Amino acid sequence: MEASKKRTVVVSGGSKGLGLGICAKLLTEGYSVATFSRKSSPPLERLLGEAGGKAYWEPVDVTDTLQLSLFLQNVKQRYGLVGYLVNNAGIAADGLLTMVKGQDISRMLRVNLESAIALTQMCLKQMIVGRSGAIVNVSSILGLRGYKGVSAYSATKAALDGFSRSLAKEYGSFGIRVNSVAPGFMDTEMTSDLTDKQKERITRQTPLGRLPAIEDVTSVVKFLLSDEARFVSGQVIVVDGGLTA
Amino acid sequence: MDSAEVKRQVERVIREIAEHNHMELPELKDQSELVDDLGFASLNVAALIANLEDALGVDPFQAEDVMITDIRTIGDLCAAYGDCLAKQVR
Repeated sequence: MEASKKRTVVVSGGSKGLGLGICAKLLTEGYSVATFSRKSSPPLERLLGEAGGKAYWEPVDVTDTLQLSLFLQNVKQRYGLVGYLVNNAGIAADGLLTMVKGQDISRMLRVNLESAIALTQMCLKQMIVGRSGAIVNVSSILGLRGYKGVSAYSATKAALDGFSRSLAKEYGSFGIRVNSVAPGFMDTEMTSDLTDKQKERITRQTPLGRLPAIEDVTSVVKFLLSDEARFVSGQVIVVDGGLTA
Repeated sequence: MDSAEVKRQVERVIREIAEHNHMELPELKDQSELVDDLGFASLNVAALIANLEDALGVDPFQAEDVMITDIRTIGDLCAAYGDCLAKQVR
């Protein structure tokens, strides 16, 4: 898609952490950014205020497909066809598998996987009409490597990677690209259960000597959505400072 | 939206997709079969459904208990959209 064309991106879960960072990055790149989350946040409110009509947010629970569908109708009215999607919304229900509540695992499967697929299904139709598009699924190194205490979470991320690969094959002929970005352990709310000792150990094991910052990941998301990545599809791009090399 | 408008939109979208894919179309009739007569493969049908949702605002194959595999002809397609739109009005 040429840079001169209007670019509308949907980012799920844009109120905090990586999602908020992705929204901010794509705004600076000139995209019209539509995002949603269950609740807003002060930094998101600031971003919306600064964006001057180029950013849009609604309170939406990603697991509610009716709400999602209405949100997308509003986005289309406001910004036109959606050409870009970042499936970022995710939750973690950590712990040894036998110690995690079944209902917490169900909710995580719904948010991390089922809802990402449903949102993709809806946005993809608009990309088919526009005959181009790019999708980035926010995965994790946990989808590629095993770690204790995150087995169900890992399953959702490995599944997303499989989804990216097959979808890339299905819709490539429409000029639609699909990739995953797999960050290492970022210092966000999602990894707040990690102890300082664990973070130190991961930092020691990381060749580049630190945990990934949000900006390390948002720049790769930006690249994968852009024309610079026009021949990259069906791939998982790992952003972990070499931890899993 | 009346059935004549639904038919007009369905035929318009079929022609646009065929043109984009450099396909020669026969004369479009209600009984024309999407796969056998028009030569629409599954991805063409996916494009057809996406573009009709953009034009008509509904997808009967998501919203209603209609299977895409039950749709063989242009007439079947028009009926599925007509029924779905009629239910929305009610």
